[in-house]
Amino acid sequence: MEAVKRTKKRSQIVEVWKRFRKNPIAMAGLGIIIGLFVLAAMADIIAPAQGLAPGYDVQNLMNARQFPGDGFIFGTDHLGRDIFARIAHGARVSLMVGFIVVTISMTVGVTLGSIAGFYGGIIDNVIMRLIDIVLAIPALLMAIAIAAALGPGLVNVMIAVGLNAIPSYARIVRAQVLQIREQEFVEAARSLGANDFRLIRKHILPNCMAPIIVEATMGMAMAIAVAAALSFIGVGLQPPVPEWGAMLSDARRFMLGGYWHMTLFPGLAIALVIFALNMIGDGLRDAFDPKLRSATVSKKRFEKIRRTIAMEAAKS
Amino acid sequence: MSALLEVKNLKKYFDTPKGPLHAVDDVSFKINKGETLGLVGESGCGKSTTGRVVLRLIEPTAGQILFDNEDIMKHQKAQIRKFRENAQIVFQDPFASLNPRMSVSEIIAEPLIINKKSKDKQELQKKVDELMDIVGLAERLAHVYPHELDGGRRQRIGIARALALDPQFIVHDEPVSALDVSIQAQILNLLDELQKERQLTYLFISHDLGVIKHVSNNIAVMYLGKIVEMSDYKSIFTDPKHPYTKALLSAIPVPDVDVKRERIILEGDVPSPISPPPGCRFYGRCYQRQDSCMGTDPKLTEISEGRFVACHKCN
Repeated sequence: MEAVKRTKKRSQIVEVWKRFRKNPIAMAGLGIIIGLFVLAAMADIIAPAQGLAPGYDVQNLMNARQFPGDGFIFGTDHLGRDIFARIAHGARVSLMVGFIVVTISMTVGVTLGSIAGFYGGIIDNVIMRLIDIVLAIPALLMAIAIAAALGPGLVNVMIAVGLNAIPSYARIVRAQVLQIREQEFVEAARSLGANDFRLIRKHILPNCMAPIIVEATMGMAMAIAVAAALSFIGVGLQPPVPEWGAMLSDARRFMLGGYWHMTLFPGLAIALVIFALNMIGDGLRDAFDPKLRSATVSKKRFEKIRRTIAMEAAKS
Repeated sequence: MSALLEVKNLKKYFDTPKGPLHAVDDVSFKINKGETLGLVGESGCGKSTTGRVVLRLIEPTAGQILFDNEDIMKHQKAQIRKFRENAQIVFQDPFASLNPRMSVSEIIAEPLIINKKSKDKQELQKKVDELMDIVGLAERLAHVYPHELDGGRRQRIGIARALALDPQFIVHDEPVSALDVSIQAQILNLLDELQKERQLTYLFISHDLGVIKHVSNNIAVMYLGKIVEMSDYKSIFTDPKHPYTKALLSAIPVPDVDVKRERIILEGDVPSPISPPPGCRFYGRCYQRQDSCMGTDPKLTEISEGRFVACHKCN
């Protein structure tokens, strides 16, 4: 079975990768994320503030609010800490939050969604109505409420953000399961004596991985954004943890003073990681299912749409 | 000859918003060990449902199913599992019935894994290789995926999967109707060989009379959830009794331009199975109808040795 498993992985992933590779924007996104990973992994080595590790926390009021330049490529903040070092270490925090939140919310969401879709009836109704309740509350508002109730801290932020992400997985998976459970190969497996758990795990879920993976990529971007937002308004990670949102929050006070670099770089970091993840997500969606590609409009079609609009305008 | 499978008064009604849909309505038949019963009828007449109900893939509404003299209807979950090791199914669509995420060898190994039929990986591998060999799949195809193969090879996978547990009885639900004619012949020959080698008993469902004639010992003709005629494969073709069978047979194309066929063209449509007409279900379209047909539903009765017909005119 060892050999069998290997072939399986190769065939599916290679095919997707081949298509993904042809998408330059998605590849750029992937490059950015890999770069951020390298930055996060080597944060201690590439960003020791003046030789003192961990560097991100070294305060030196003599160096406060320096503009980018000598020794500090992104400048320093109001306490004289190296912004580049803090961004590098902040990448660790953000990527970790993103990953853990996605892993946990995906696991819970996929489990709930597949149970709801597979069994239907009352079970489906109970699960999906609970999901609807979560969805009815604005995501950020709920995250703030949970984070405020639980108190600040890394774990609490992840709980607050993760709870918000569960519904989308559950809904996607449920819709997929409803479609796939009716297929003949599921019935075939049942006729061989497979139990429900095996049907879901071996036959249904592997056939709905594509949208889950796409959602996970996008979900990671959302998790990072919400975590940064929580830190920005002060209910998330607390200083001195180098979190991008918290850095923005600190720097905000100095914007009017002309210290643009203090807000620019953390803001850029957040924007970049979210942009990159979304591009990867889009690329993956296209790579998994080339038939579903609808975002791009061909030149010819664009011309046609333009002409129709012009005609409509001329009429009125 | 003893009957391996005996079905008595089997009924399956599906609940629909408009009322119960009579998919299978009071069907009885027997299949002897090592023989094939061909079940023929047009789309929607309940043949596939019959095949699935017999395996309890769909729960019947009423009736009795005796398999090897055991009442399957009384079985609990664990016993059904045991029963399914003995009774398998080959599906119509070899594209839909194979999991696209599993390789050929994984698909064939699955029944063995589920029912814990092999002690270790080597034994499993060996059994899968054997099965692939039996159905004529080259060893090099073990690690490819179903979508890389043509319909005939895929159907061979489906057959290997059904054979894996070494069953006595297999339901073939239109196993060749999705295949090219040349490949149909290959698959039919394979099924025939397997039957002879392993003493298999088949319930062969098809809408193709040519195929049915080729494979069956006995043939049952279904119309709107009921068996209207059942007899050995020869007499049904040479001497059909039921008007519906006659009409069905007259529709077989004759590969000779000079022969003028006498076609019986039926009027009207098949009535809705949700509220089937009272009396004979074929009444509205029958060209031999008489008044008595409208009142009472004709029972399937034995008119001569081994020949069953459900028609007032023939009794």
